[in-house]
Amino acid sequence: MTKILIADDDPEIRDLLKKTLTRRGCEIISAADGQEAVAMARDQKPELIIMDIIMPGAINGIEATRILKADAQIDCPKIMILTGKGGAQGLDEAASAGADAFFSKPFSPLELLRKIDEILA
Amino acid sequence: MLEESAKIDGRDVSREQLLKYVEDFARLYEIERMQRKALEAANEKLQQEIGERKRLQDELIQSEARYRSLFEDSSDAIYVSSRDGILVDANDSFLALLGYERDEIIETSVLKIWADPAARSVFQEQVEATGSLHDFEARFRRKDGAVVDCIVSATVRKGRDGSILGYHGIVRDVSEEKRRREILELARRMQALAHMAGGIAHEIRNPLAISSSAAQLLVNDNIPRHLRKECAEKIVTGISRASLIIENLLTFARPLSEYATKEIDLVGVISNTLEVVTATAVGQHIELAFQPGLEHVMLPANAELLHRVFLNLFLNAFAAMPNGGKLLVIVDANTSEATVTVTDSGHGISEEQLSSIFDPFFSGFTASRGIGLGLSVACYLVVQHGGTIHVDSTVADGTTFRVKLPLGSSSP
Repeated sequence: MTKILIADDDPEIRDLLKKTLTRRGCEIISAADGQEAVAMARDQKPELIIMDIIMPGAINGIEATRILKADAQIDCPKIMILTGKGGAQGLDEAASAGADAFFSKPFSPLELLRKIDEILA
Repeated sequence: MLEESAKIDGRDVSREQLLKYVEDFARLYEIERMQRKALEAANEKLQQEIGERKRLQDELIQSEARYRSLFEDSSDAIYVSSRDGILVDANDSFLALLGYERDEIIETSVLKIWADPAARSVFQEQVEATGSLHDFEARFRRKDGAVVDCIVSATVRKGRDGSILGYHGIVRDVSEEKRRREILELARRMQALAHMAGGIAHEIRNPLAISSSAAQLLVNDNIPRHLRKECAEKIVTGISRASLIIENLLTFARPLSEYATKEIDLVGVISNTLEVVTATAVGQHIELAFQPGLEHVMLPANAELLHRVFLNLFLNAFAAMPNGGKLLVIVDANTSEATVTVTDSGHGISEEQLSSIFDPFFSGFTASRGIGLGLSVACYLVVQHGGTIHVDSTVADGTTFRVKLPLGSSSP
C-alpha cells in the first residue's frame, strides 16, 4: 500500500485529499505545518509527500522540501508541491527546492491521481 | 667780544638787548624744533594709519570678491529678497534653475516664482519665527511654466536697529530626488499589490479547490451515499469560505461613512460577541472570562462592525489555543476613550512575526483560517472608528491585543 503524507494547514483540503487517495488504496498520514511534515517524513518514511507552500510555523512547504531533499540520512520521498500560490514564482520556488512535481489549486482529483501515478511510476 | 651797541634793522640796540634777542631766538628755535618733531611723529602715525586702512580696505575688497565669487560661482541657487517680496539679488544658478535672464527677474516680485504664492506667507512666518529655516519644501514656477520641487534653507536679514529687511537663502532642486522617491514608492505599492494579489489567489484557491474537488468526486457515480452528502457539504463550505474572504476584502473598499453609526454600548457588543463564540470555546476547552469594568460604555460606532472586530480577535485567539486555554476580555474607559484588552494563553507570536500580523494575507500566520484576513480587517475597522490596536506577545506565553476606541462626545 502506497504511503502518502499530506502536508497542508487546511483541514478541509487534507480531508478531501485523504478521501480521494484512500479510495485509490493509499495509506494517508497528514501534517498541518512544515515542521510536522519534516518530522513525519523522517519518522514514517512515506513514498510521496503532497506539500502545500504556505503553512504556519517556522518553516513553510518550500523550506520543508529543501530540508528533506538535503537530508542525507533518509531516502527522500518524492515531493509534490500542491499550492494555491500559483504562477511562475511558485513553480520556480518548488523547482529550486528540489520538488519532483508542482500542482496548482484548485485541482481535479482525477488529474491529481494521474500525476501521482506518473511520479511514483 | 660783543660790542657795547650795534645796529639791527637801522636801529641802535644795546648789548643787553642784543643778548635778549639771541636768547629769544634760541628759545623760539627750540620751540619750533620741538613742534617740528611732534609734527613729524604725528605724520608718521598718520601714514601708518593710512597704510593700515588701505590694508583693511584691500582685505575687505578681497573678502567681498571671495564672497561674490562664492555667490556667483555656487552651483546652489542663492538669492536675496526683501521682506515685502522683491528679489534683490540672485546668482546665475538661481537664474538657471528658474530659466530667467537677470534683468527679467531682479528687482521684481518673488511671488511670480512661487507656484503657490500662499506658501510664501508660510515660509515667511516660519523663517521669522526662529531667524532661520532649513529644508523648507517649496514649489517654484519656472519662466516656461514648469513647476520644480525645491527645498529652501534661508536666514533672516536684519538692519542695525534689528528690524527685518528680508531674507537670503539657498534653493536646491529636488525634483529628480522626488521623482526617484515616487518611482520607489510606486514600486513598493506594486510589490504590495502583487503580495496582496498572491494572497487573495492563495486564500481563494483553497476553498475553490475544496468545492471543485468535491464536485468532481460527486460526478463519479460509484461513490457511496454518505460520501456524496459529504462532498455536497464541502462544496457549500468552500463557497461560503470564498464568499467570506470576498466579504472581508470588500470591508477595505467601504469606508465607515457608508455605514450607519450611532451611540452604542461597547460592553453590550462584546457581551453579544462572546455569546456567539461560547459554543466554539467550550468545544475547544477554552475558558472565557469577561471583566467589564463598567456596566455600560457608550461610544459612537457601528455595532455590526465592532462585533466583527471582536469576533475576529476572539477567533484569532482560539486558533492560538488548539489544545485549550483561557481568554480574558477586559473593558475599561476614561473620559476620552475605551480600552478593550483581549488576552489569550496561546502559543504567542514571535517578535519577527509581530510587525506583520496586521498585514493582509500575512503568510506566516494562518490563525485567521476560516475567517480570512481576520486581524487586518479588525485593525482596519478599529482605525476606521478613530481607534488604535496594539499587540504584545510572548512565545509560548500568550498574546494581548489592546483596542482603544474614542468615546466621542459621550462619557463612560
